Amino acid sequence: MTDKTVPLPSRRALLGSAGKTLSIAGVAMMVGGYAPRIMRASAEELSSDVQILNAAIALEHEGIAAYQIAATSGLLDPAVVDIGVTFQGHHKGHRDELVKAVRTLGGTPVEEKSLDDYAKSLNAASLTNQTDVLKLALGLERGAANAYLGLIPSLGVDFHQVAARMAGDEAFHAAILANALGEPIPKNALIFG
Amino acid sequence: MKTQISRRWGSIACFASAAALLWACSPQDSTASPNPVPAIQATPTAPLVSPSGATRADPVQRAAGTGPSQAADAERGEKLYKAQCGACHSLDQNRVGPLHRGVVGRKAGGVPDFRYSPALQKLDLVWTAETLDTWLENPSAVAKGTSMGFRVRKPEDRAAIISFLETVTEE
Repeated sequence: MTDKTVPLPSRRALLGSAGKTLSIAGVAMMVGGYAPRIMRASAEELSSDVQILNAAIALEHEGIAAYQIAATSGLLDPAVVDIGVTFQGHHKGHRDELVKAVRTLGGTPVEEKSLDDYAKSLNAASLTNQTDVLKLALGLERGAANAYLGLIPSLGVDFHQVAARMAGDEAFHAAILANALGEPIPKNALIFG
Repeated sequence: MKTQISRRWGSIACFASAAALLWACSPQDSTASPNPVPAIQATPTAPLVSPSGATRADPVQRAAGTGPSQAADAERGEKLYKAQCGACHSLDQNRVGPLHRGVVGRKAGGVPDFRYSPALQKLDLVWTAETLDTWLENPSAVAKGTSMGFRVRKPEDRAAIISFLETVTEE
């Protein structure tokens, strides 16, 4: 990719010096979808990808927590809870995929915070009815779709497709939520990004 | 409202699914490039240079094309902020990223109780309209190794977001 390309042992040493280790499991996973880039990217590029992917994991942790807070708030109709739990499952799938990618790169996935921490940072105490909850969810989903699209240029090419697929999921969620709230369909194309 | 919303879920799900699928199949931005860009000199007083090498003018002027008389609208910036930055940031709470109230004029990495990446901890820079414009265009060009990968591609959007942030001062 660049003239900074280095052989694997050097990359491992550098990542290790940054507090990250390339585990046996990580090596095993290198036979999977993310191996090609590992074999040609510089240590600096891989470390940058780890940082950005970890921010995405933090985003997914927050999304999972938001749906958990919503589902247990007592503010939602049962049918809405069911859909929210399904969306939460999608975010768990995103998290798992991102965690796998970070480990494959030799990084350490960021941990989730406590539910109380998320409730505070999302100002959950201000939610008083179902509409409030749906508006919060819509803001997070719309933002997440844009976030994934906006970070693609900063990520290594091996992660472009997975980021775009996650943006697609978030856009799907946002469309459902916006319609549930009675928002009009956007008239212009290129709604996200 | 509850009943109305519940009814809508079923009736709109199929249409929204199809719309989302169509969106997902639309062409992606072909201008996105993984190619590395030259680092800029990130100091509070140095004139910033864009990744393309051009000296950076005031972002509002850059967006408007002719000067401050056509300054970007902070109201549009607020909408953009919510839609584009709101996944990770809010004005008054540290989330995935640090809170933004009072960001203009603050030293980079200066929000108390936020755990910054090493790249931001080392960054010697004050957030101004200029530095924020460079940052939003490509964070990695300012602080290599930052966890913020999100880029705002359009200069006019960056200018609007910055105009909004300039209005959000410490209370």
